[in-house]
Amino acid sequence: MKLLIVDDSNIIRRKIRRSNKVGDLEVVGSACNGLEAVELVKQTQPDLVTMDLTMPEMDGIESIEKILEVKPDTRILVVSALADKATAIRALTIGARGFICKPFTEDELNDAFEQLLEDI
Amino acid sequence: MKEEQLQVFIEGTKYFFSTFAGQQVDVGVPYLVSSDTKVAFDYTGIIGIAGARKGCVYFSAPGRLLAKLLQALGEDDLEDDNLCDVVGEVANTVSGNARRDLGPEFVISVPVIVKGQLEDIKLPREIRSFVIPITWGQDKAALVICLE
Amino acid sequence: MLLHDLGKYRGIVAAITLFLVLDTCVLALNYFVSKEIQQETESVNLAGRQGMLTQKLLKSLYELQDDLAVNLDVQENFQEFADTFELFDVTLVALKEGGMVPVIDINDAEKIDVKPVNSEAAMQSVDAGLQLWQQYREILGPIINNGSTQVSLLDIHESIATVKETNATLLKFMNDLTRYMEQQANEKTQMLQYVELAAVIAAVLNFFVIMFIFVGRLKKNDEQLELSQKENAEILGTVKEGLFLLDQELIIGSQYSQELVNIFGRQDLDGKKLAVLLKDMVSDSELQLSEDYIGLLFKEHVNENLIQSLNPLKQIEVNLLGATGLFETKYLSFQFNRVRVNKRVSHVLVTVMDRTVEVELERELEEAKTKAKGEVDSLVSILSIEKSAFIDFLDKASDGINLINEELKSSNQDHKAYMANVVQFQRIIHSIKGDASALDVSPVEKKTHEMEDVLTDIRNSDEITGNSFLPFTVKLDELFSQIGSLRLLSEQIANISDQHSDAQPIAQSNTQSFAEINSLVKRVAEDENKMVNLVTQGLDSHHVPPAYIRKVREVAVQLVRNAVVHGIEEPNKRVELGKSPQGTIKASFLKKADGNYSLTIIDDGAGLSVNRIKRHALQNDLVSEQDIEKMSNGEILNLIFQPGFSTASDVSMHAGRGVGLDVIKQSVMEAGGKMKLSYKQNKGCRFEIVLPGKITTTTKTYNETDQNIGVEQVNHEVVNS
Repeated sequence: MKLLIVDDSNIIRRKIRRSNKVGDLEVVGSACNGLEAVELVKQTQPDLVTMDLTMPEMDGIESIEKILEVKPDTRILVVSALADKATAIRALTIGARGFICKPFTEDELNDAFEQLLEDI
Repeated sequence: MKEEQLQVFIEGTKYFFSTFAGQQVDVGVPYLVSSDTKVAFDYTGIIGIAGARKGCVYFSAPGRLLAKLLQALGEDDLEDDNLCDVVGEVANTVSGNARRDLGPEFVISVPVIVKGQLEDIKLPREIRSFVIPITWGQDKAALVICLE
Repeated sequence: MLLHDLGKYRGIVAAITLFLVLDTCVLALNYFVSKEIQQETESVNLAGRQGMLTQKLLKSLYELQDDLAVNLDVQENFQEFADTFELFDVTLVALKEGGMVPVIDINDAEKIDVKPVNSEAAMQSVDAGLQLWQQYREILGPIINNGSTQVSLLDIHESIATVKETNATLLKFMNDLTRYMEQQANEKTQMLQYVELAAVIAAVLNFFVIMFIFVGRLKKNDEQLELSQKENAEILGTVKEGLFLLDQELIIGSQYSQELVNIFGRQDLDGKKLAVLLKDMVSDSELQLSEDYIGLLFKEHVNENLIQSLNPLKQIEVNLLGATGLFETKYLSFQFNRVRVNKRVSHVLVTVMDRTVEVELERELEEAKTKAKGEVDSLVSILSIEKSAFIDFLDKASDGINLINEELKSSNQDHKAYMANVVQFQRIIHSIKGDASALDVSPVEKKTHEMEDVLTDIRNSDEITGNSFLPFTVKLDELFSQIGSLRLLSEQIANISDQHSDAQPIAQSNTQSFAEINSLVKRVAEDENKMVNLVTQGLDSHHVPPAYIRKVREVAVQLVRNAVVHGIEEPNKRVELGKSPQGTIKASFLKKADGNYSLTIIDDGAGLSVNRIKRHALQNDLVSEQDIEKMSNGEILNLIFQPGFSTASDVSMHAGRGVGLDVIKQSVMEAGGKMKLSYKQNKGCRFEIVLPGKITTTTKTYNETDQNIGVEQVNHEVVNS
């Protein structure tokens, strides 16, 4: 399983990378904005992507749409501080598979990954 | 500014520390400052707010507190870049979480990080900012909410 | 496979199939047997014709003989004779061996396919006929072969003799044959009838089987269906929630609960799109959000728990056309659950709950709260306030707010320090409230009253944290704004009055600084249902040095108010005690011989009661029971100067918040003054404040209280007589 981590914060990217479940995955790259994320999806063809929403250059929502155009079977987990329902519904409607809010606990992140990896 | 709305930001800050750092912070007595007075520690992460409310929310903290926060997050690289990163992340997360109660019309910007004093930040003249003092262990920080 | 899919209909389908097969068989049999019978009937007719042909043959021989005798042309009758012979021969052979036989005469092109006869009796008749016919062939055959030109009368004579002799026998054979064949055909017809009868019986039986077994079963099913439909209807008619199903196209299913009709006030929901239902209730963006949300429910991969947490219609406010024709506001709560058939989400079950009653109750509570908080800025009264007093008030309030904010900023994080803050804030806020009340600035009076409530809440909470002060800080912000807008207002008013008249003489304005004490007494007395006459002396700027104006006013306001609230009794009580129903309060300011100033407030009220003070001190935990036993009357009286002491039995706007005398004490001490108190039970109370003649003012109106300064430093003179 190939994973791409997208977040404008290096700290968060590294925190995700250090989590248990991610240990079993092959992290193929990390991006700090939506534009970079789309490019990296083209290059590395990841199975999974964790996606922040509030980012410079291109925000997460637009990035999800672009990524799914490039590689429709990408399973995207949104990891964002935006805690309102409308944002989550929007992200899931355009094709994200999961949504967790920052700050997250290790367990929450692991559970989210488990759900993301279901029936693979 | 309503009490409930301020409480959203205070809870957000407490939740950030308890969830990400596994440690509680103490919230001090909130007070007011006029728009020409800025409460600043070494690093400040500022989130611009647009939409239904306008203004900004910022989190300011000394380097030592941020270094401790990084360590609590499991990060051992305590360089300047990461201190800036984490102060921005606190501000971003607290503001983003506030949308749970304030809704998607509470539009937040990506964080702007300022080191040292906040001279260049312009706030609306007629609004007083609420300062929420935060104490984490030995260190003090502040969450400042300045909204129309 | 197919039968398996039919489930409970398997039996009836099998029965109907059997019926059809049986019917088809009978039909086929009928077809073939009928065809056979038709053929045989034709054969019977042919056999019958043979009999006629024997007679015709003889007749043609006689005619031929007649022709020959008179020497006529024999051609025609010879041909007739030959044709008859030929037709009989062909037919007889065909009846024996099978073959084609012409229908009308030998030259007829239309032919019938004749089957050989197959019954024993008929065969015997055919064989016998053939044997006899052999003689005919031998005699008549050569004559026909020779042709009509060669025929002789002799030949014909001979032929007639033979034919005449055997003709009857041949006829008999042919008639027998006909009869036998008829018999056979009749038998077949009868058999066909039997078969048809049997088929009809079988069909009838089948029908009864279907009737009794399957119809019975269907009826039972129908009854069960009806029962479950009835139960369904009962459930849907009774549940207190609006229930309906949505399919993937977001179309409402045919079954929904009565409550749904009640909630939405419309019947025609069946088959409508959800959007039609929600269109007038929610904004377009909310509608889109809701549709997106329900879309997620049909997306198998989206986690159920996550979905539940995102429900945008968990509580919405809607305006619906009610039965009365008026719009009613309702608060609806929608819940969405996946309905799975064969593990796939087939529908979404929607539960709509009308939470109007609960929400309205909540709202009412909230409203009551906001009303209490409400900033009914009735600023009209402010217009009547003398300007410098008003500015003074605003300055003092601003000072107080700033001091509080400074304290908030620098407060230490421990319970004791917080407690000290609360006490200090109470004092400052109470003082601002007093001034606001004196000047009748009701918005500020209300706001500060609320702030006192908040402080009391903080004080009474088990654990005070920094966050406990949040509601207070929010109110402080509001008070800040209030004072700000009042200042703006006063400036605008000043501009207006400056334009219309010259500045008022200062002396008059200062006299008016004290004038509001009169109106205060009037107002408080009215509120407390008391009758009070206030007599003042020297309370004007001629007598009060400018540096003391603010302080004297502040102290006088508090003490006079206390006198009205705590001192003067209600008129009835006073009459009982033999006093006039109207109480008197005297407030005087004078310069004493020693150069010091004296402010005296005397009332003819109830005086002080040591027992009441004791009781209240104990109730408010100011002292312990053991301590109070050891205390002298003087020490007990000193308790009324403690922060948190109150002698008013209920908390009203005007007093009784446990701050008052301690504020005055603080204020007097700041100026380096002294305070004397004397009283006589049921006769009255006298406060004297002595302020030093040599004025040493502090710039700060509010000082961080030195907690070490105790009551003993205030000089009380207790007169018990």
